[in-house]
Amino acid sequence: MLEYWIWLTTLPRIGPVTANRLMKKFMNPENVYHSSEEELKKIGDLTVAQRNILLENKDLDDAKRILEECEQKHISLLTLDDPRYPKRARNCKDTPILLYYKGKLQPIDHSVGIVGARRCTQETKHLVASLAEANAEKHVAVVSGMAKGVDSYAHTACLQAGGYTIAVLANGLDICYPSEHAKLKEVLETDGLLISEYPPGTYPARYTFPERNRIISAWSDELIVVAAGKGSGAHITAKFSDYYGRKVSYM
Amino acid sequence: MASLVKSFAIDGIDGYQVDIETKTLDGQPSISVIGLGDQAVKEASERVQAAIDETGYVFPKKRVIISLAPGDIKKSGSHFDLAMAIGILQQNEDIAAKNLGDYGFIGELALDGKLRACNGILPMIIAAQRKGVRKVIIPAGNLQEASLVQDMTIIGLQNLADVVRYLEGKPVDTHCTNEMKVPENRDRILDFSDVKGQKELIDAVILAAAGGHNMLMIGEPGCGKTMIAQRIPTILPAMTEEECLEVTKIYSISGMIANGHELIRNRPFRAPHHNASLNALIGGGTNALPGEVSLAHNGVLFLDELAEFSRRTLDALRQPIEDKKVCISRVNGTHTFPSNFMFVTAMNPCPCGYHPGPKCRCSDYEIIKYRGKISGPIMDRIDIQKEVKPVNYFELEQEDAMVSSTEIRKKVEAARKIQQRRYKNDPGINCNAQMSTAQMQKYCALDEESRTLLKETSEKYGYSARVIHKLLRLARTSADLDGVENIRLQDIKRILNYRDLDKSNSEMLVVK
Repeated sequence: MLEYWIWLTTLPRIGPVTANRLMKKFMNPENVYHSSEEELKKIGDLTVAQRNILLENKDLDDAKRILEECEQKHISLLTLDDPRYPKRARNCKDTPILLYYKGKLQPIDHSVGIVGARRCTQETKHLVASLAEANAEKHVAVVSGMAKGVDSYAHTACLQAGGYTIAVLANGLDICYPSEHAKLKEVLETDGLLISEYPPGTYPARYTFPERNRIISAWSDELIVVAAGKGSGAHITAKFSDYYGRKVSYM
Repeated sequence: MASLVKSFAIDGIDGYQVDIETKTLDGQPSISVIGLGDQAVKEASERVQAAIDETGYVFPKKRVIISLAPGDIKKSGSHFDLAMAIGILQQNEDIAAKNLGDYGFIGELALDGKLRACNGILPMIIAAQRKGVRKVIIPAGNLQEASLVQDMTIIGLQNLADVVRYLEGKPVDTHCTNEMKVPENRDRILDFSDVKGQKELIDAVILAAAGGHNMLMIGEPGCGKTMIAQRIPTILPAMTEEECLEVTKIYSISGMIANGHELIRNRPFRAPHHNASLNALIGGGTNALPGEVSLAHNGVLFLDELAEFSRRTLDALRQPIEDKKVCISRVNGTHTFPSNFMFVTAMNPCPCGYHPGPKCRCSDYEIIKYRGKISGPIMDRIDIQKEVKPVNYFELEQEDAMVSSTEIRKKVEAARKIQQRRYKNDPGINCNAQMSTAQMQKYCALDEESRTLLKETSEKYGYSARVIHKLLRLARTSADLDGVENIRLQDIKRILNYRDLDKSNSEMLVVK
């Protein structure tokens, strides 16, 4: 069953928005797989190219291989129809219909995203630490991207305060980027939650970072941007939060 | 009857006697050199033939066998030439040498019969002395070095013809040892009085020198780490005669004794670049020559930019630091070289170099990863970790000069004397850094206050037992510097300042 989810999300030209639309119409990817040309023609915004891709690419071998790899590497799958998929994220039109995850998947009452500069001063570090600690103590989940600098401090301080933290990666869950966070990633896999839109084996690339940032925004009820420069990744995340109608604060 | 001529060779840094036996047999003219010689030894036959011809003798037109005994030890070097030539001339009855057995012969022959100077003369002459071979004929170029050994008659000659004349009792121009001008022992130009500021660091260095403790300096570029490290040999106690000889032997076999050089009296200071290969550092190469760790024997080995050395190279340092010697197995033999040095090293605090200054933007995880390049076992062997802060050039100008090396050395020597007395019945231990845990029970008792402070600090920073032992040894040295019997609270306070790297690491916001 799960291979159809992987099949749909790894097709070229079928992005998350299209996938969501197909889900609305067909309820699950298996139905999409078995759909006919007429049924597909009924979907308004599907281009001819997209339709052909859906009809012609019926090879499930790759999807099955990815599924096996996930099993080997203890990576779990979270599908859109899973009740554990957070509502705040599900309501976003471009949310991934399939997420790979590792760690503890817990219900989240309230979450805050903390993102910021990769290179920051000692002062900023202490600020981030106290923010994360404060939220951990209030049982608010801390969401970030496990990047150098602010992200890493937010996750670390939250973990040290015994809180729940979620790291959204811009690569497959079997890859650790940046490499100096190996220990942090290990701890997050057991004491926190790691999620990614990308199947194992996917290396980070320029485009995966902004894509990943939208998920941070989608999973956060509010966003705090710390010490971010103009045009930085953190600002992209802020734009997404804005777009999703979430509160954004700057420090 | 085969002729026997004495010569010598090197094994490690020591010499041993080699007997060169020569026999001629009837048969097709040929010459074979046996006795597990290396390529240089094998080629000796060519040099010897040419030199003998040049000297006016006829090479025997017979089957010539030259054996380098004992036959089961691998031999290397080109210095057997002279002995081989004499052996052949004696066998051929071309010369009538009186009491050939009283002499040793060392020297490479040029094709025109001249004698060439060679490396490793000193250990060979020492071996000759040990073996009772009191007269040795060597190339004139090696005379200076050879005359460092007492009770020997060293005859330095220019060529094979002169050697023959000398052996036949004819007058020949020998270079007497007394005629050589002995160069003045140049005083070190480096001195601690050159250093302004960095008082804390210098205190740490004095402690390290006094107790034989290894040391790590952590600081941004340009704050004086190298300058201070270079001056450490000037405050270490003067070398004993035996230590001088050991160092000179090592430099001799490495070919680093320049002509006209005396016994080495200054402690060596070696600072290899972090690009140095493992063999350059530890020793090796086809002929198993001493590496930097042995060239630093009885002196200081300074590794600047410790994090830039490859992990493999650093790990290879464990044996030399721990055992104070290094065993090298190579194609041409296994050798053991001594490597008892004071290990001083410097590193940057982070990849950009400026932590914890305002310029630093490295993330804590980057810093921990950078520092993690140095393996635990190496860190374990470093007793003092001291942060070095940058100096303000203009403020320093106003300050008075610091103490001179001579004054510091007095303090260090006094502390070392206390340690020598303390450990005189303990073989292999001659300074506090080498103290065993059993000895610590005896010599490092703490009063109540000291014990409490040590306990609290250890718990705060999570010091292991191993670290605590290090701290106790340092405290013992601190007390020795002031000549007091028992460790005081001020000693504990002082040495607790020497875990700067551990403290810095514990302040990092990273998962443990």
